Amino acid sequence: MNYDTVIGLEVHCELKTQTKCFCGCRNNFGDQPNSNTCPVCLGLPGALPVLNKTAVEYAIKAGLAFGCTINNETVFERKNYFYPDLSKAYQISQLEKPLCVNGIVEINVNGKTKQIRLNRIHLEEDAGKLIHDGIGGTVVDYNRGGVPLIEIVTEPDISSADEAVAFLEALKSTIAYTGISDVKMEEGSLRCDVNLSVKPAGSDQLGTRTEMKNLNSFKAVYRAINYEQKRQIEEIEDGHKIVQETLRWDDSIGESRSMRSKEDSQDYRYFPDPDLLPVYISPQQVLDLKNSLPKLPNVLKAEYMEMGLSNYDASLLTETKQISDYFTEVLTQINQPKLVANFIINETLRKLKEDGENKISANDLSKLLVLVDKKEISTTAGKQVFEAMWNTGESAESLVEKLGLKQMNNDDELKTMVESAITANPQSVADYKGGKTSAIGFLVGQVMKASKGKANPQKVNEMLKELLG
Amino acid sequence: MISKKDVLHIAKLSKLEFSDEEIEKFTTEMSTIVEYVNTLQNVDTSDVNDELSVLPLNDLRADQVKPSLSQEDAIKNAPKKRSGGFSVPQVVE
Amino acid sequence: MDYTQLSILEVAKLLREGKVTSLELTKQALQMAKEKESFNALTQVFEEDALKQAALVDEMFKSGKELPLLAGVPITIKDNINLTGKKTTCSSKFLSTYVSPYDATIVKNLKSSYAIIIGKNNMDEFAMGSTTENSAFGPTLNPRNPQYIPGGSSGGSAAAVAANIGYASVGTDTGGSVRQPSAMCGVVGLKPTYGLVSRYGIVAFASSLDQAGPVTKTVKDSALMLNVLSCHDEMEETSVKRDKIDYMQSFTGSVKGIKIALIKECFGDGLDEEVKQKIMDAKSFYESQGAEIIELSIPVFNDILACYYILSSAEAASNLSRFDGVKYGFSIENPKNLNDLYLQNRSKGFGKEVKRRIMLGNYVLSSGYYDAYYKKAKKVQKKLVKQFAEVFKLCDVILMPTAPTPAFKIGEKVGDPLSMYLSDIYTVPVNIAELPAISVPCGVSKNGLPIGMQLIGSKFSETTLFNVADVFETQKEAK
Repeated sequence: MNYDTVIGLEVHCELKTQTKCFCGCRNNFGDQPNSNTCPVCLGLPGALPVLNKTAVEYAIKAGLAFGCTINNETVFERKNYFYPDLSKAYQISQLEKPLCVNGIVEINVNGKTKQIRLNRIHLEEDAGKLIHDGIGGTVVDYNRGGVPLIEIVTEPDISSADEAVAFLEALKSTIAYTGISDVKMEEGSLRCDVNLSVKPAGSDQLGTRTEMKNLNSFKAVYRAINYEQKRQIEEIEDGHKIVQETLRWDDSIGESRSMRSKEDSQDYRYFPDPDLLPVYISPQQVLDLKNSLPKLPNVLKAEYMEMGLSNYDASLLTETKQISDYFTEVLTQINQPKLVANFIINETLRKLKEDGENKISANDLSKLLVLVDKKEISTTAGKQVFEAMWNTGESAESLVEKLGLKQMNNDDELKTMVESAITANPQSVADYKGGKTSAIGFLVGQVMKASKGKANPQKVNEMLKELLG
Repeated sequence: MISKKDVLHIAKLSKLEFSDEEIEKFTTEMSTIVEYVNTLQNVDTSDVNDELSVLPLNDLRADQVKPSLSQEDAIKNAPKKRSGGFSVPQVVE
Repeated sequence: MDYTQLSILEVAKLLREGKVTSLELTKQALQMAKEKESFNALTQVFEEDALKQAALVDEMFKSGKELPLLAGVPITIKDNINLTGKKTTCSSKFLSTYVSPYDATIVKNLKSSYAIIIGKNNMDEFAMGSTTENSAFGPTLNPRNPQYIPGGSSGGSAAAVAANIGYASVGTDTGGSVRQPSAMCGVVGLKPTYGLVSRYGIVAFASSLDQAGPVTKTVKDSALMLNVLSCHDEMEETSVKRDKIDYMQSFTGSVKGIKIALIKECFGDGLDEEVKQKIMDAKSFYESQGAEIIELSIPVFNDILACYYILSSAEAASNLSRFDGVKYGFSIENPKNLNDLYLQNRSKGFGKEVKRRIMLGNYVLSSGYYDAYYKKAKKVQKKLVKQFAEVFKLCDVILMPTAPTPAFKIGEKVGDPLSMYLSDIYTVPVNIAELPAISVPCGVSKNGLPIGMQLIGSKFSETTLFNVADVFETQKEAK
């Protein structure tokens, strides 16, 4: 029997605002416990919430980035439950009138494009942190309590672990572009819960689903989905029913454990928070926020591909806004997309992995590339200069001079070298004339060596072909 | 009208516990009150609109940091504190 | 000389004339607090702080500095209002040792006016109740007759003012909790329009209904207090932004041409005959002063009590969930586990009435019942707002009793919560409709217990209320 897997994701994303969602405390990671708290986020008697404008704007931007419809009137509800990290014993969240509804995230898996529908994106506050001290105690830090979050809920359109990871990558990349969040799973600014069920292939009836939490990396999401999918199928084949439950994933052992027993099914008693007025956002304000969004990675990627770049290269260039901004800037100075892409992908990205900081400004890089483009230096020489620029901070022009890399432009001088190479390497000549076309490469290499890299390899190639017939 | 089972369920949601005697009494009291508030069902509200009083986006709080309490003040009233935080029985996740 | 029976305006005048000092007034108020300790109107007294403050204010007076009218005047505030460095107990075992690290906005306003806060008033626990019998620190007694309740939940506020412990008190009113005890103790109590006075720093009972309001000896004092208390507060989203009004300018001395409405639904069964009579006397008085009396109807009026208990309990249940004993408050020593911690802290820390409201509130919010109760109550609320709006098209103020009976004996209704709830019937519609209302003494029962009349106005019509109330207070003989 074949099975379909039906997956829906609930993703939480911390917004990079200066202050918390409902109070003026600093929104910052890593400070002393309970040092960024106040009567409001501590839930002291008498304190009242006041909504952060920027949090709303950021949430709307997220919605617009995925083509959501923005509700002009939005309401905040209280979600009531008891837990030590929830200081008021209710979380201010959204239920009936969330900020954003109906969006799309396009993913690409194994060359196939798929659209994952978003049900909603809403704004809510984060809970504090529980610190387990390992000696039998738990301590609560409310610094994180009240930090604004957006909750992104998909329709159950995802069918595999691959798709789930592709979704998360597309989500992360797009949100990073908007600048509203750091979206780092390792730091907790991006969290994901997985809802999964299986059903006989092609059947209309959905199976019972389970919820998995504590997924702290894309890899964990991948492994957890595959594990749960397998587990559910095995259970069904063994004749058992799937229990609707919440599971905690343990990535260190690659298994999940049940988190909450059946009888604790929560009744959150949602009702509109009487301390908060519904917010009105005008169509003009929504439009202004839309116009304030930068070009998003999927749009940029399509543009780059239209310039003639490959899918792979276009993807690399749109991985972060820093890189695509850089690419765009260099292009304004030298309109040779393939050349620029070549250097950024093979040189800049490589060096960034080692160094972390881009040591060559767009302006400086473009000056180097102009030299290569004009054939004043060879591409190989260009890469040498790039490395030197990175390490010394000197300009392309002065380094070319220093390193004596100016490409030879004297054809007579070149012809002499080519003739010498032919004379000095009769075996290669014979090989080439005998049909081994690749032998010419060796000869080109010899000329390059003799010219100390200054010869133009294409010209050498042409000349050799001409002379050898 | 309200059953003992209902009352026990609500007590759970409320994180309140009662003796058997108190549950009996509560069930009676709550039934009386709920019966009273049920009279609201007879009020015709078909002509009431759902309009909300709203706050325009521009009137919301600006994203500017305000002073927080010191850690000391934040945990001053904590019945049990440790390492700058609020101590609770070990939470089993 | 004994200044304790004077009004704020009277002592303010004496202070400026140099005939009395703030220190003297404060000492007398503190002395009175000691003498009348048996009424149990106060949960805390701040003797040292008050005397220090008073001395500072006296220095300021001496230096010729122009000071607000409330400067140097001893007052009390209900114990659900946060004052930095002092306990906010809400008359609950749960918060009996909780010390607040911040000031309520209204306290900031009081401090800016250099009022002398001499102590905090006893109340029904978490403001839930109409008799102040629900206090964890014992009931407050009615100064007019200590066998009787002072009303509630701001019973301590009303009793303090009636017993001349300080010149005013700030209470809170969610379903009548300032007006009703004021009526029962024979003093003036105002509930301002919702949003006019900041709620930040006042322990929430029902967020959409709570309003702090002054308890005073005279209507003019009430206006003076509202000047100090009212302001826009950026710490509260439901705080209204309006041009500041000087309420002391409300008084014209005349009600000629004012239209006063009697609502026919208010005069049915359950209304004590003596109370009814006093309201009718008041009506006749106003007529004789040139006001026009009309009879109007609010058909949904008698359904509002049910509406109130649904909405207020639901909001209260949620507002009181934060009391778990983790961050502050009553907490048991050796809980078996987390759940046990919550159950024990809350069950042992809260009194009966509070638990009752929490249970009712969670019931009406619970899955399957939310639409029938909470949502329905919200609709009925809108209906009431509409009907009040229709009435105010035809009149300036509404006149009705504050409470259906004068004070009853302590312990009389403790076993019958529903009967207790029914005593709020005239006050809760005002909170539900977010309107302002003032209770003014209008007579005494044959038992010697005060009776209060209530004047209700449209939103932000406090000026009109003050004027109409003041005319009665200053011009009607025999009170």
